[in-house]
Amino acid sequence: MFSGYIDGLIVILAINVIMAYSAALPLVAGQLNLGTAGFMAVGAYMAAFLSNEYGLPIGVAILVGSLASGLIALIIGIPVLRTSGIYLALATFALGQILVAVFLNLEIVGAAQGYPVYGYIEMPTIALTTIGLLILLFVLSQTRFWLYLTAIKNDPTVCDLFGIEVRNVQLAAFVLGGMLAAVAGGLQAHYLSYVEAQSFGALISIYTVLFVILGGTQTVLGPLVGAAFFTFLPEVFRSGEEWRYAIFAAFIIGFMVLRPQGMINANMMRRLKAPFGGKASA
Amino acid sequence: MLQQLINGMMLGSVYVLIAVAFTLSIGILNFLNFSIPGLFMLGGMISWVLISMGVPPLLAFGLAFLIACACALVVEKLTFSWMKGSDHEVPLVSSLGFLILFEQILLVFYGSDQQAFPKVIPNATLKLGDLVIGSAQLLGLVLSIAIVIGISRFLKKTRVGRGIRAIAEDTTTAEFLGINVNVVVPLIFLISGAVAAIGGMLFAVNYSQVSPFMGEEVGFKGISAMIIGGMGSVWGAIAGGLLIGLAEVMSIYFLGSDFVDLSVYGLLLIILMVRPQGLFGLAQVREKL
Amino acid sequence: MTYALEIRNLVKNFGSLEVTRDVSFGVNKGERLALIGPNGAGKTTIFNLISGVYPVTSGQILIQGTDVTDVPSKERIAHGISRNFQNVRLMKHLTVVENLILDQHINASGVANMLQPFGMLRRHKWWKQAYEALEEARLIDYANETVDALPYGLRKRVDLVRALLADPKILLLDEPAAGLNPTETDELMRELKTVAQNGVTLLVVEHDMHFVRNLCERVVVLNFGEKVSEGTMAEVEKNPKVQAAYLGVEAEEQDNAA
Repeated sequence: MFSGYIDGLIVILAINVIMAYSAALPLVAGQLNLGTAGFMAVGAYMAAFLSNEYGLPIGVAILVGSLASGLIALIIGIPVLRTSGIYLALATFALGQILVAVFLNLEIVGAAQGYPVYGYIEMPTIALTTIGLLILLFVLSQTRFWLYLTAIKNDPTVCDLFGIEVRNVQLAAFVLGGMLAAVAGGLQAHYLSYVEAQSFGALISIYTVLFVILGGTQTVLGPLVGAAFFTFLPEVFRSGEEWRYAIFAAFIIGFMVLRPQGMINANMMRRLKAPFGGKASA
Repeated sequence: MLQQLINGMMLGSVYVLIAVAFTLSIGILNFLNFSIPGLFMLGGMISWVLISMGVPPLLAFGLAFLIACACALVVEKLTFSWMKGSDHEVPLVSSLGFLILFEQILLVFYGSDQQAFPKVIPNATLKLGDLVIGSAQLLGLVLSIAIVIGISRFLKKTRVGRGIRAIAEDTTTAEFLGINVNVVVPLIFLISGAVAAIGGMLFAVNYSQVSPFMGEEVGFKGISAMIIGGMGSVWGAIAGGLLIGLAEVMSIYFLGSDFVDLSVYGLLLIILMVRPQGLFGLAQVREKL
Repeated sequence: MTYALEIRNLVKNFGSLEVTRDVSFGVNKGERLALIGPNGAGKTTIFNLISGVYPVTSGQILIQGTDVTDVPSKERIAHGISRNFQNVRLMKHLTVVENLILDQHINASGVANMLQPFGMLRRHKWWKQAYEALEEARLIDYANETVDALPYGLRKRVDLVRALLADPKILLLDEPAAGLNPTETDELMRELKTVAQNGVTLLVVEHDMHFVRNLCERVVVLNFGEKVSEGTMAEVEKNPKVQAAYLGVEAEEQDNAA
């Protein structure tokens, strides 16, 4: 349909967008997850293993991988989410490193040699899946659940007094984030036909968080814009090939100085439309 | 076995310095300064660049140190001092931007390969029975512990040091006590950047190699060391650094190199779940130091 | 007869610090009772204990005769307790109307409610309730402003609308008049009297004595965590202990100023 370059770029965009939301869900509630790459690895390996060894349809394999990742997030999230702030960020960081390290030593999926994947999915499938997920996320952003996430970031104590189950809401966001990352991993594994533990390094998690913060967490569109921007900006500087990431880093620094709330903030969206489509002020 | 213990301590001494650099920034300013691994790398890489240009080693180290310190001050100007009152992730992101920036600039000029760092210290080894201790390694261990103790004493005994600790308690109070926050905050960035840069030089000398990305792995281990020891505690940083060094060397020795991350980060995760304040930290971070 | 709200022998210690010592009083249904006393007397602590911010050290809290001492804060809301906060704890990054919807949690808990995409549904009852309440309070113009864009006086009014939205039986107000100008204060007073006439029990912490005198039927005076007097304003004013409590503070303030 498109040239290989465009195809590849669209897939990278799709993966980056899904990953951005996997980090954004907990971050909207003020929780920094620096371990998304670990959940991505779980999804990639699980889906690849199921479609390779048991011949499961790729879609089903990815779904099961996502559920498995969600289960891991749930089990580990319960103790880990007792911490907060910097401790939570580092606990999730350690968790991501551990998950990847487990696959690095798991012989059944090739350990350090990597794991070939036989099933293949095309770019349009990945693009459509991403659009589907975006629609689901948009709907989710219109619920009380999302409202609670924002409120918890604002003031967890008062949320608790209102009777909102702060811990459970945070856990749900963390688990949903883990599931999304696993979907991204599963899609990527079947597009690249190869899974390699080393490719889920800590920097993937960190970059994912960068997308989100650059895009802004105050609105549901922020992570999408951030991820798209991050995917395309280095391409724009392609002419200056070797300098492009340096320019990019300088851009991040400058951007945070000028606009710490992210590209898309709540007031900007409100000027475009009344929030949640509510009655415009009289 | 005993040899492994010593190797672990040597490796740990590098982590100690990184952990101290982080702990100063976190403990006093409550800021996870992600540019520290970048400053670590600058210490090692710039020394290598200068030495390979023919600059005498001692002068090269001195210049690299000054450049890294200058960079630390730039980081302060463009991250922390702008971000007062913003979400706590924001300075983290922009300091991360600096890490990427430093790495990429050196990458452009010198490529991503590991570069061999020349031997600048005579290759003497200390032999105690079967044990072999390199002079460079020994120097590293002694130097890191000395630096850490020096910082700890500086914070406790000097007027400026007490000023710094007052800031850790409360910025307004510190200002009230006549402490110039605009001087002391850059000073903290300077000290932690300088410590990181020295760490990078020690690493280069000890392991005879440098690369633009040498800071990442070591940086992450250094953060882990800080958490395990207890955020904000200088003694905790020493304990955590040595512990991580030991855990790493021991797991290579007994389990193989692919198990390093599993044991190091496993240790970190367990500590965070069981005793989040770390081994030496008090429940409230800011009360230490 | 049972009180709408009663506290018995309430004690709260923070470590070795005794913040409230053996405080008891009751509020009748529809009554307007003020809790007064110098700074640090333990007024806000009592509010926090009643609303369940932290547990009591000993003593009892009863709502309509039911013991709620060990009941978590969310269930106290179900018992009809609602409160504001001294320094207006609205969610700054949410709009006024979103803040109101947020506070309706108690009537909309459960997963099914949580996942309704009401944001897209213009006619959803949650929007209607919130907009109606704002209309009634003549705050409709600010419905879609984020809270951090509002001046303090407006935030206080929104906070009151929020506290009333859950149809409370007992309303705890921590310094509702602080920071308001005289016109706003008079308006607030009228509004609160109407609220009380509709059967809502009011417990008010307030420093503005003019406000307390005009709004409240009865006052309880606290000093150093202990109840020193109780009765009508005229009665407690004559109590030498009360005079000592306030004079002591004034003397202290003069010392500090000097």
